[in-house]
Amino acid sequence: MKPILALVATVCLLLFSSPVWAGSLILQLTDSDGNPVSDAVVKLTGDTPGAVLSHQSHIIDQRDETFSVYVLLISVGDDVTFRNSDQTRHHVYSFSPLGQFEYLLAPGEKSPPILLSKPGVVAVGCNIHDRMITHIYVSDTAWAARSDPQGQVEIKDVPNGTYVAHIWHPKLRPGKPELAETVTLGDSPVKLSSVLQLLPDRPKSGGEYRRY
Amino acid sequence: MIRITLALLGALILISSTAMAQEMHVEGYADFRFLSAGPPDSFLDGGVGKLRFGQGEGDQAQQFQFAEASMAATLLLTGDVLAYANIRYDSRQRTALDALEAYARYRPVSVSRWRWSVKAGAFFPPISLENTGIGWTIPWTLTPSAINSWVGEELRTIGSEAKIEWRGDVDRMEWIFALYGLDDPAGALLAARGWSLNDRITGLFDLNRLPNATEYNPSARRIHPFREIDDRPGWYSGVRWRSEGIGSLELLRYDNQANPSARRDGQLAWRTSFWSLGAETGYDDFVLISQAMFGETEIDPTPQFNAITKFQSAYLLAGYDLTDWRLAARVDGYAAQQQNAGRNVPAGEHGDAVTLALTWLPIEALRVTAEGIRNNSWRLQRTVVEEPPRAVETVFQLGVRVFF
Ligand SMILES: [Cu+2]
Repeated sequence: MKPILALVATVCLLLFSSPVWAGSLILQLTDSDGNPVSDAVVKLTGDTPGAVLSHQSHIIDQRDETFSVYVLLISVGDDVTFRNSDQTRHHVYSFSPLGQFEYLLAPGEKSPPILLSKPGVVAVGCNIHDRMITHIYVSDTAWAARSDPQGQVEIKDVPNGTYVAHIWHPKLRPGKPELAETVTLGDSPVKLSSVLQLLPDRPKSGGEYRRY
Repeated sequence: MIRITLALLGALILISSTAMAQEMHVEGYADFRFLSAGPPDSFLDGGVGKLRFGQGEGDQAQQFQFAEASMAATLLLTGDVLAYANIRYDSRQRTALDALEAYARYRPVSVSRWRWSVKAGAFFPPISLENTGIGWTIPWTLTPSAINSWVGEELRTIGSEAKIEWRGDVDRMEWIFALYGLDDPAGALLAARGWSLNDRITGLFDLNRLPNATEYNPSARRIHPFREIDDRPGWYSGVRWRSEGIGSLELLRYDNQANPSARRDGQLAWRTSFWSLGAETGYDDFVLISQAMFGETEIDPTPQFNAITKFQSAYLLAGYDLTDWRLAARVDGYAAQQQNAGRNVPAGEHGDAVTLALTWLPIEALRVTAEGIRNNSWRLQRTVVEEPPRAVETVFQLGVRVFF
């Protein structure tokens, strides 16, 4: 009797648990002018913590005095390597409390992998080219994604439940409360949109401004 | 004169050949002007006009000019040290080629919120909030405000400046202190000519012309602004606060510490000190920039003669930046008062100017700016050369800048 009960229970669990994993969130991000916002990171916190994926290595390239990404989303425990693909030197550095480092990179050179083990945002600059900047978003959950050039964020395969979607972007106006939306994920995908108040890029056109 | 030109040219060729390709960045532009200017004659020709362009008789006159070509090279020596030089070609300066700035900067990397750096050489003191472009040009207009016109004419730090930065998540602070020499004649133009609005920056080896109506120091109608007369260093010190999303505020105290009774080679030392204030803010595509300056300059060349000129100016610039188009409007106000022992005619002045500029940037390498200035000023000194004390000057310019 008991083994049968156990079997039934197991079957029930399998049967009912699989549709539970169907939740997904699609978020459309725009700025106050209605333009899509890329490079925002959306992270879900709530009922079920998203297990962090196994360790991954990432590369941020430097080309034309620009970092290859403006925002890189990684998980806690991942590492990041900086590569210089320019003909000039770069001096990448960060004074973030989450990770302090500096590497002077000759053309073609790579930094050693930098391990980031605490969640948060690490801003990285170049001590030679003041205008170069990139941000590493270190997430403690797998339920996080970065918006694409169309301003879309999709977080898939999230267990059903209620979550808070935290929205972050490097140019969010400081001093405002954190941008967050409460979402209940069920069997069908949830579509939401959100408007971000961003600081303008200044100066706007780079051609005639000094580079150093 | 020729030797200086050759030396500059040689230095440039040397820098470019040794560092070719790897660690040098060169940028620059050529500047062409179509302009329409009216009376009176520009101070650059000895006249009583306050603008770069002016012509003595009759109505507006049109002309075309190749104004200048400017080239700046930045050479990365180590990761922490860079050298910068900006050289200009201008057919109306004393040497065909002259340098506006030449300096080295040492800025070690820091992985804390604090960072320090030091500059040495010849460079502009950190006063202008307008001149952020290549070769000390202005993205918004062709012509600087009265304050920054004067900074470009008579101020250059030939010495060393130290800076300490504190970098917060939102706020940023900077403290600056500098010691310098070779700036003893600074202030002479403000006293002898008064304020002006012009984008003709004085090169390191160039001379500034005093108006024909000047009564000081008739032996030296031309002044080399960057020279040492009393062997006493000057200083300035400033603080700047910047908050992301709000804007910036800055304050600077400048004192060249010149001995007002010193004289060398027929040139006088002008004791010049002033306060400079700046603020900048913006929202979306709008930018507001404002600066104010007030101070005084003094000479005591003989026991019988002493002159103190107090000067004040402020401006407000409103800009609208649509990436390909930029629109700017600026209002300037300025004044000076003079106290001369043993002189009856005080040579004070007051005036205001309105500048409107529309800039079009069709491609990265081209900038076209249409600018109009109306300057309204009163200066009694003009009566010395039988001109009325009040002058209303208007200049329209179309500036075409080709960047390389
Ligand atoms: Cu760099």
